[in-house]
Amino acid sequence: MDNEQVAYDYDDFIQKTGDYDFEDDEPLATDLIETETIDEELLLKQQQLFQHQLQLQQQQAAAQLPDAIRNFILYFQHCLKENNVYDLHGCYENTFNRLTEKFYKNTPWPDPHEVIAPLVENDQPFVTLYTEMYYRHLYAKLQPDLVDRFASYDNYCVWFNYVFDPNSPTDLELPTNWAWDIIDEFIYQFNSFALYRSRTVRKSHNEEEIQQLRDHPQAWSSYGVLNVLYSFIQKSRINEQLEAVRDGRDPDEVAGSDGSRSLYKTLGYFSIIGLLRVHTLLGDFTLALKTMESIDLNKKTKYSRVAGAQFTIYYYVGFCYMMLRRYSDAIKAFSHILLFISRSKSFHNRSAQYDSVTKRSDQMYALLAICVALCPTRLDDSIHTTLREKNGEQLARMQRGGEESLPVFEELFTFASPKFMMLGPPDYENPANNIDPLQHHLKVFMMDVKNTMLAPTLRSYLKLYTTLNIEKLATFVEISPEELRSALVVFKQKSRQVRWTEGSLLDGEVVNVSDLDITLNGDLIDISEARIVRKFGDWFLRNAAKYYAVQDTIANKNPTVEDGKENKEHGKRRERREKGGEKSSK
Amino acid sequence: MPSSTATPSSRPPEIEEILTTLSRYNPEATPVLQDYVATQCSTESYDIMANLALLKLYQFNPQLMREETVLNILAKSLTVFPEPDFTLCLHLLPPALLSSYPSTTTASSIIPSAPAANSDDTLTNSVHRLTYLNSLLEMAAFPNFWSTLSSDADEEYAELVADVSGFEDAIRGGIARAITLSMRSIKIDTALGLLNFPNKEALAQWSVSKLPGWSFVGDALVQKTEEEDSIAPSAAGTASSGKVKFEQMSRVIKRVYENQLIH
Repeated sequence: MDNEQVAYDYDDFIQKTGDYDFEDDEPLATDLIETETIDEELLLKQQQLFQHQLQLQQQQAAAQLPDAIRNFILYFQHCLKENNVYDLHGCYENTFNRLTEKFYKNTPWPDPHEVIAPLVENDQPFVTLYTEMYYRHLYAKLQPDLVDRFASYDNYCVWFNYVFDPNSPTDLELPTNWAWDIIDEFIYQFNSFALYRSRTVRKSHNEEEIQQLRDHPQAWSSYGVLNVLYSFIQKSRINEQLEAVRDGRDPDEVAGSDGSRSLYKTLGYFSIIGLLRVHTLLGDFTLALKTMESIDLNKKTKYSRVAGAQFTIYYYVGFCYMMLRRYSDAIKAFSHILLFISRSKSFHNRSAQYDSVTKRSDQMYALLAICVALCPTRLDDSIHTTLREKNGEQLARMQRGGEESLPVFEELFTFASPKFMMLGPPDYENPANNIDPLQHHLKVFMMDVKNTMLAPTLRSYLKLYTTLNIEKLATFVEISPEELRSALVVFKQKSRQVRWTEGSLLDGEVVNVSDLDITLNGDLIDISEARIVRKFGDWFLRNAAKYYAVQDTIANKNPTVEDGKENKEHGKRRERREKGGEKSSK
Repeated sequence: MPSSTATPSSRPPEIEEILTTLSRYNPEATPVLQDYVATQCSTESYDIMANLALLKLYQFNPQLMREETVLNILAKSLTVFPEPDFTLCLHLLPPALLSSYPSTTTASSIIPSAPAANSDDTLTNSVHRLTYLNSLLEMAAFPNFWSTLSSDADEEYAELVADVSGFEDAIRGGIARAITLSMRSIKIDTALGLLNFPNKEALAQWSVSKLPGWSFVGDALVQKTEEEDSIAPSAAGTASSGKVKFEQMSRVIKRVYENQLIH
């Protein structure tokens, strides 16, 4: 099919969204009316012919479907209809991925409207959900073009309208993972569209595409996306529910008729995380953290089992903290989730999202390196080891400071930051005005990094003394005493950071985060260093546990722990320990 | 010192209403928030969340953007340094405003030189000037800050902060906090330069209310010693404690118990 015709299809599709009826669609025939003048009879004939051909095509396409696929689709639809969440989960999480591997590794799944809709007798809710998966697969494995992007957006609108429709409150239930994936993918495609659009306007000379973009400003608009997320949050009254839980009340009291339903609650909860992400992408880091107000990160809920959601939360929360210069909070967030990832690595190995998890964790190590360079902190041992493996050289260069360290900061920030986007449509008239938002945020971030360029050098000298004259240090560092005085004030200021203790993510107390403390006494610098004493208690306890593990291995005894979950974790830790033990013994 | 993102007590209910509901995306909230910025400027109150919400509205509706208000928000956020508020505002400005801001520091000195205000766009020039003032504050280059602000060669600087009543005193307050945090004593001559006072008398008068705990001793200002507690690093105490919590022992105890069962 050539481009024009597809575009036409799309317009027609837009008009009919809501109750899109495939059978009535005659794009080719109508096209003919406009282009050629043919008498009615012939037209009718052609129309019939076309209808016939179309039906034939459908039948053929359906017939060409491998049996495995056909059966899967029918079973999948059946599960959805029956609200069988358990089997739905199996279809969604396992079978779909397995069949993708087997049949559609590099090609799209069967077209939702031409092939699948007739197969399931136009079961609208199913077709919409299938279409969502169809496009998700397309985005992941192939290059979506503009038409795909528009069509996918429309499909989301159809589905959201279906869920929101007050006249037919749906009793549909989806597996939690799937609900997360929908919100996650929705934002991903929103972000991807914005990048595609700005790239097209900036670089390409494809006038036709640019015109199409201009003609559809409402597709993937920030207002629209924010509106969806806020609507989910409001409809599910999820914030009120979470507050009730926090205060020890029954969330159902405030949930209302919609909010007590599992699907709404789940979508509402994930929409909060979606907002965290969208606000960060738009550069509003304070609002991003504010959105998370009612979510208590330290509390386990059924949503914290969705690994993808956890990665997203901690990556964006950590990033926002970094942009608010609360490096110790950022380090805490990154360390927490990276530790979780490294512990559950063997589990993700098998999952379809393995690649994206690896990429995300690489990004978080890069951000961690930036934070540690800006705010020297003792990390968890295993995190520290991995960080040294991954970004050791870069970290060392950043920790040396000076002019040479700046490109490293820039490089890591560019690699690890989210794909920033502009809120509005690009400036079509003056393409030169469309500056990559990443460059903008990078520039603002680097302004602050530059202010601390001198800190590592100062640190290295200050560590050697308990008192030091400003003049003397100034000659070491080769700057004027006045500049040094300023630099020392900055050094001291940077050692004080707001750190979260309790409550909303934005709250916190000002604490000292540095092990090196200085005070200016006239022209003298008084220096005191906090010595970190090894915690012997911890050390002995850790090694006692190690020793038990060795004992168990020798006795070949299965661990006897009542709690299944803990059992697994212990088992895994033990495995790792054994591996470590083997290595050291060799 | 509380985080500046907390709700200020001066926030009127109608602003709270806008910030906590979807009205924060409603273009009709723009004039209300603009007036609120003007109020902040005249009454020495400050509300970063409201100002960020306004900048966000400008992003959504560029045609509504009022340059004067944008500059006032930026000038206002200078007064709370070293909080990151100024940069938080910068993140929400159109990227084109900053793209020509010089990103390299001059090699000879760590204090950067003033940006050349040579853009055709006056807003761009003004944002650059304020960004420069911010970096001087961030680098604690206070004497340079004052001399730039009162520079005869470029009167624009003073012009930009003129709307913010009490601007100089607010900056002095910030500098006083920096001094209190990092110094135990300071020569009066140095203090005059940092705080931009012409003579000791003016400084003395000001320091009575704004530098509590400091007194003149000879040719220096000295902080009273009871503040010393806060100077000792708080990390030292917690890091060296050798306490072991009972819960940490749980595995060991359990193990001993299990072993007894077996034997």
